Amino acid sequence: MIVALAWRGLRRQWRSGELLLIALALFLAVAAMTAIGVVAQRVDDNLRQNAGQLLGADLVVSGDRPLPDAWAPQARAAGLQVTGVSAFPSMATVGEQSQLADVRAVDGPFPLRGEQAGGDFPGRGEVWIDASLARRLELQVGDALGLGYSQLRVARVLAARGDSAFEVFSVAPRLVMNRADLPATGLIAPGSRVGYRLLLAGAPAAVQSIRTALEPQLQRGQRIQGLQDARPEIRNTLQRARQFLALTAMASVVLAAVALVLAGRQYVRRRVEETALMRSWGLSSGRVLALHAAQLLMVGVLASLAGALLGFGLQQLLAGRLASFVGESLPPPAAGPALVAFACGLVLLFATAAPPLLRLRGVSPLRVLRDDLPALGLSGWATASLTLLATGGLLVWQAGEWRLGLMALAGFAVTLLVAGAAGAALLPLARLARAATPSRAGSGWRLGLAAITRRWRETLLQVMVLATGIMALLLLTVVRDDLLGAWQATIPANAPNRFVINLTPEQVPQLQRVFRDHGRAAPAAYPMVRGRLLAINDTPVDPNAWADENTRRLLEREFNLSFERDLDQRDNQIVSGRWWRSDELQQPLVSVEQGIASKLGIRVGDRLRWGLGGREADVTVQSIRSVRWDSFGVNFFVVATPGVLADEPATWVSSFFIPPDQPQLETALVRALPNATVVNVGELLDRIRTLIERLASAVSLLVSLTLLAGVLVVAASLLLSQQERQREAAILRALGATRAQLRGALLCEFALVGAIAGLVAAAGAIGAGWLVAARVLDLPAGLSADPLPWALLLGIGLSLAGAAWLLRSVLGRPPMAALR
Amino acid sequence: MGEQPLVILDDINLAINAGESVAIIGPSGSGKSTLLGLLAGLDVPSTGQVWLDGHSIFELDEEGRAALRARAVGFVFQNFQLLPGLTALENVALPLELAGRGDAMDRATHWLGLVGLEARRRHYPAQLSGGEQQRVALARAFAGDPRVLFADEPTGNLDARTGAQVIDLLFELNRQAGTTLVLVTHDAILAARCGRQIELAEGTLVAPAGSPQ
Repeated sequence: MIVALAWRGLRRQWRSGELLLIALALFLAVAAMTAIGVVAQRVDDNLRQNAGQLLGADLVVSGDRPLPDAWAPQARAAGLQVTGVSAFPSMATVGEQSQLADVRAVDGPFPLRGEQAGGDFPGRGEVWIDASLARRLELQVGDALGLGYSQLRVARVLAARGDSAFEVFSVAPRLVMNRADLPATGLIAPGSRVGYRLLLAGAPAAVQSIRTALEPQLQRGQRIQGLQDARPEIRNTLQRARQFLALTAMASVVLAAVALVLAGRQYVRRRVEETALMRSWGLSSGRVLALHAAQLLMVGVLASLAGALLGFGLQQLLAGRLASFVGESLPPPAAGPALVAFACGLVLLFATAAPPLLRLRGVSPLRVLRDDLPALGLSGWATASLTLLATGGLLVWQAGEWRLGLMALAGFAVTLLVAGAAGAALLPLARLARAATPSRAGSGWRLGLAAITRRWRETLLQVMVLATGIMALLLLTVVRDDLLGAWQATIPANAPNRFVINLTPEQVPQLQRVFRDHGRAAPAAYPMVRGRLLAINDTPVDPNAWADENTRRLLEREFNLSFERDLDQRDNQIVSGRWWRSDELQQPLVSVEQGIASKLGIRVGDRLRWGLGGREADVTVQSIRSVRWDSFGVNFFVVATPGVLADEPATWVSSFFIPPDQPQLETALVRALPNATVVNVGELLDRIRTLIERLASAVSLLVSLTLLAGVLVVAASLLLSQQERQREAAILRALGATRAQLRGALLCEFALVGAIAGLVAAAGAIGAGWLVAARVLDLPAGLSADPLPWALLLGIGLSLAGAAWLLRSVLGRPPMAALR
Repeated sequence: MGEQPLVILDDINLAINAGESVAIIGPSGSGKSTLLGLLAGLDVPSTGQVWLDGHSIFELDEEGRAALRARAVGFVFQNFQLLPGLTALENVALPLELAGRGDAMDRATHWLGLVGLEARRRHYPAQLSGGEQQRVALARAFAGDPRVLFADEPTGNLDARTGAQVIDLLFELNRQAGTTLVLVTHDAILAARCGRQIELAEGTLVAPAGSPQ
């Protein structure tokens, strides 16, 4: 009965346009959330797949002994593609020539992810080889190649690396073979250094479940690598990518909440008389409440549904545009984010509308007879807290990270509060300004100021809405550009794009000569000594004592140590202690990178014992360094004085930039240093840049939707005060106000409100941008005033646009309305 | 059958002299308020003319009528129509400021004193009783020295005693200021206090009693 009643009431109210606003706000909010959610999901999937290309799979399980036989069938049962890989270095030979190759013996499609994932793998007696191996051994498809006791035919030459581009220190050119051919080669004997891997790929949920299932079973020496576990620079890139997308989604959530708070309050305000009437007819307050709630739910479901549908259509359009940026098709859309947005719409609607709605219980039927009862209090605090709670939950959820979600929420909450405070400060100022203006001078100005004080709650609300909306837009445009710029700046254009490893000390001058011969500055080379950490302050190091898997693994293997006279200040910065003086070069001192130091609990002054080949060395930690790992320079966790390591057998490593237009430099290097391995990280850098650019264009597209939502929020806030303004305009007209006076008053009022909102938004955006850069994204960031002019422009512009829109309906009101 | 055009007022011909007080009476829906709106230039008729203070007001544009209202007309409304965000004093001063008068605040204070509300000049409408709000409205109406005061059911929202006090005040101020008063009411006692009554029924004048014609 309630439902039928509610439905009839709904149709009536819809005709009179009362619920239209709330539906429109919800419709747009859900549409924006859906479009952003679905597209973000697709872009996210795309990013994952790109990262998958680098890993060659969605998940890699690896170990230094054969993996349990049960794992592969278990993964297949979970619906995943599985390929087993045995990986080891071996020499490939052609006649007299030989070359170290990174052999991958596979039993299924290889790789599973990436451009080269073709669903096939070498047949019996066949190999696929990297282009660089083909070049060095002068091989072509069809030629034979020796591997151990076997002769295998080259069936394919691979262009780019598919599965391990990020393992920069382990790369010899790759050779892929069929695992069934492995025994015949005779290369695998007890004690051989073989890595065993399972490459897994499939639906994210299945990948996650197999990961959860396998992780507890991992033994020492076994590990699981997902996309998040890729090398730090990749992980950072993906993390930042997700966070940018999350920020975009957040702005739409906040705008939705603001729009709904406004619409919800107005809805309830308009229900007061109707409620009094129904109460006077004998309806219990509970039933009246149920009626309104049912109506709201109907509107919520209809509008959210329509919004989700529109959003789904919109994201198709967006994805179409996005695909032209990406240069490939996006993964198919999933219905999940649309359903989520639909649910979010309903949650938001009730969070924003429930507190004022509950107040309708207190409406006295006496209102039917008396219209001088005080206006209904609409529990602003309850609405604010509940909205904050709901929005906060959604933010954290959408951000997928507590810290970022809470920071964004805090940012918006602080903005709202600061905007409110600024608006509150404006009120006495407006009153003062009004008192200070002589009555004869500019009555428009005086009226405008009066309007600000007259509707101070609305003014406050308007400042808060505008400021919050503008701040969201600024964060996504100006601040985002700043952040992207700063981020891209962290990868310098001339970042090293080649690593060379395994240099003998004698080869270092040769390397440098090749560069000088080609008219380029000689790159620095660094000695590298393998060492195992044995004890910290005489306490033996037991890897199992550390809960953190990465730390355990780090302690199980040998560190790459180096020694230097002077601090390499490009990427290194002392954060505590000091670098050694020239008279301390023979002292047993080391400097430790701060990340590893904090993991291992190492402080300045601690004593470390290292196992170096046959001997042990006791050293004292003299400094802790921060290192910029994403510079792609050569850096080390532990650097010692020459006195500690200079006599140890060392190989040398160097990194440098080879311009794309100087391929002869690389050829010369290979010729001069035949046994050294040159690793091309240029491809890797290109991929990271591509990721960043794809992301930037994706975010820009998402922002345009958020912008639309912001404009609608502002329009909604104006619509709410329209009735009252029309009434006032009619009175003022009756009292003799000219159009010019009314127009001037409105423009003054809105320009002032817009300017204040702009100022507040700029302050908020600058502050939030700085926080995000410094605390979340770890970027070197200063406070940039860039958003200020935009904020003022947007604030005053949007506000005046709203005023212009209001003017027509307000000025068009005949003064006769004052009599009605 | 074609639809008949809806005629609200028809064939109304009347003159109100300076200083006169006239009550427009008639049952609900007889067109009283519409007539008042036309006389004050708040509304525009499909045909016909109104002369106010020497001007044919429908030959003026809306801006011209607004200026005329600011200069020569005062209003008292049934539901007071005070602006809720302004104090009593600011409400009284508002039309003076619109007219660009430099002494708006002083005059407003003076008139608030005359209606006995000087002590409450800083109060907002919501803090005033209905009778007090209407007294503020009276001060606002008279403060601009209008030639003509239009009052639309000025006691309609007040109880009998308060209504009587407000009316006493209205007539007293009117007497002092020599303002022409045009008052819409369906209260016969109130109407009787005016110099002349004009009765409307279904949009036409019923008995042009005491017509100057």
